[in-house]
Amino acid sequence: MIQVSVVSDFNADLVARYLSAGRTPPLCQAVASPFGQAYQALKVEPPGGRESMVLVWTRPEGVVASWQRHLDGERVALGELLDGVDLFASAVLAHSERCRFLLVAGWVPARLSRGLGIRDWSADGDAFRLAQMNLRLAERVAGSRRVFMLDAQRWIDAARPARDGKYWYSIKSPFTEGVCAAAAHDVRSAVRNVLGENRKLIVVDLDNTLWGGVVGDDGWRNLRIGGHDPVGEAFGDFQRALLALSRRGIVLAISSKNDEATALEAIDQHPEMILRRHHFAAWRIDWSDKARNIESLAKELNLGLQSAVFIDDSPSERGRVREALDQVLVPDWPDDPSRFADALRQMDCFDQSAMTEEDAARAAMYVTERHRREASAESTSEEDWLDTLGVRVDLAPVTEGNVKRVAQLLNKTNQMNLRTRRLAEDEFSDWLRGDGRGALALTVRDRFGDIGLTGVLTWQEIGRELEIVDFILSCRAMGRRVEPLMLALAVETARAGGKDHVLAPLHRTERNGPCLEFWRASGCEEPEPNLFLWQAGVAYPRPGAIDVIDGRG
Amino acid sequence: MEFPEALQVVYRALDLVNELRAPGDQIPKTPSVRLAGDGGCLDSLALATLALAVERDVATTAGREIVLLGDDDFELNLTFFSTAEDLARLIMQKAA
Repeated sequence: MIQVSVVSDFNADLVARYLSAGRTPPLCQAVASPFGQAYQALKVEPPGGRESMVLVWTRPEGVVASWQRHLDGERVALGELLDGVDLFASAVLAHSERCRFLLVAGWVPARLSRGLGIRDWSADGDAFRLAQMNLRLAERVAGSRRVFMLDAQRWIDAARPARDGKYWYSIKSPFTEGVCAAAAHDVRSAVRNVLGENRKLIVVDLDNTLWGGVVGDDGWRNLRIGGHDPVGEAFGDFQRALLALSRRGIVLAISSKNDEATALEAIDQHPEMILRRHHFAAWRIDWSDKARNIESLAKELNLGLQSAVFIDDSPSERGRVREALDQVLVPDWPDDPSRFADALRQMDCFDQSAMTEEDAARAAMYVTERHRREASAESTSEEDWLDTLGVRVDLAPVTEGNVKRVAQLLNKTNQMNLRTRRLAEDEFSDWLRGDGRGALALTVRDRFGDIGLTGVLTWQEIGRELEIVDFILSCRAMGRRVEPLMLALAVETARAGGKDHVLAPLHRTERNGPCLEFWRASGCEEPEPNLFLWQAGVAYPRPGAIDVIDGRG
Repeated sequence: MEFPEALQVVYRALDLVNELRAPGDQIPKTPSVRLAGDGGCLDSLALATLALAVERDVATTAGREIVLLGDDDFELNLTFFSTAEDLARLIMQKAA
């Protein structure tokens, strides 16, 4: 249960209730601060303690006194308004040190008003000044790793009516329950996001989903994509929206009931296709059950089903996948293709709390991985294949420059993860500063390309023992002998420090079965279930055919 | 507005209030469910939310502006909120 504290100058109990009443994960327990006490609430620890998530949602006039004077018609210098914003931002930043993450809502007008009418975007107007205040707030919190600014205008847009003076006078909320519901929805989405529960894979159908028409019947030349055709244009825009997500690291795959050669010919040949074969990490184009094919795709890509979203125009195919694979997100999909792109762009499951170089390159890496698999299929044995893969691992300490990515791995990796310890970037840095603790970041590449910073090994010395705390490898780099290399590195560290044993206590989760399998096959002793031990007097051999570049200095 | 229609207005407002409550704490949509007063299941915020939702619904569906909250007779109105049926009859009376 996630504890959420809602800090507001108005009665935000409706938001807290919507959050607490949520029926699907993440389950939240929310409380709202007392009316009119935003600054007081920001000065103390949230009611749910330091592990809480906090939403700060205020009216600008409730926390910046000079804005109320501006609304009352006084002449107030812009600098005075921005000073007020700075004061509020300081309180928000200080509060963010007392909680796990803090979400601060951008300001929207809390009451219905035309402002200065046609002069509202002049330097004295409400619109201009509120935009300046929001910009200042965004700039002030941008440097924080724990603070995320949400766009409250989205909540306003989602509700009709959004504001009603009667709500203010009756329950001291400037916004209707529709706005509060949208806010709660957005907060839950943000919580999922910072907990690393966002989706990474889109499996998309082809006929009447990626393009208009049925390629097997109509032929690729007659498919509706782009051109001077409203329907074709809509399908083109949907493909563009998919491509934009792919550039943010979302992996694309195809599941379609079609003849493979015919479908691939359309992808390769149709002049208006935005997405080409090289944009897809994998596909299943055949006449098999789509649920089984999606399972197979996820397995091939080393991604869990909980990472996948399935988009198909057919309600029956959606129903089948929903029924068979409850972890896969299968959104209801509009019938009208002109709504496809908007439907995709409004999905919140692809939000990312941070964007690293690895994220941006992820989709391309999965495509490269397909090339690897195709080459692997031509190889005689897995061992031969690994010998020729040309794996290179760069070792580096965890520094300011890579800690964002390390924290991301810590929070998102499920399968090869010894403890599934979830820590924010700052929390991890704090932990690492403790006595006897160390960490290594591993960047992996092979002859097909860069796989990125995908491994994290951390440890702490406890008397004569070196205990492995985190043993994390992204699924992208699994099965390349990096796992035994990480164990060898831990043993080398223990030996250099004169330790007797290396201990690896594995915390079993629903998803870290591959990690357990590795350790059970590693040659370590298992003196008690899920506790692995290596006698440090004996070196653990580094795996062959891996080039290790030690950048630890 | 006839009674069945007014009762549906109350039920739609209860749907909205139920979204604010845990799955195991849903208010049943029956004419006799006690909303306010002794044994009532709504606190002041939920009651206000219900009343505002009813006012808006009547304005949208019947084109009539009725006032449940903020009326001079608000305290009196509250006595009519004790069950869904009572509230529906109040709506009929106000929308007449």
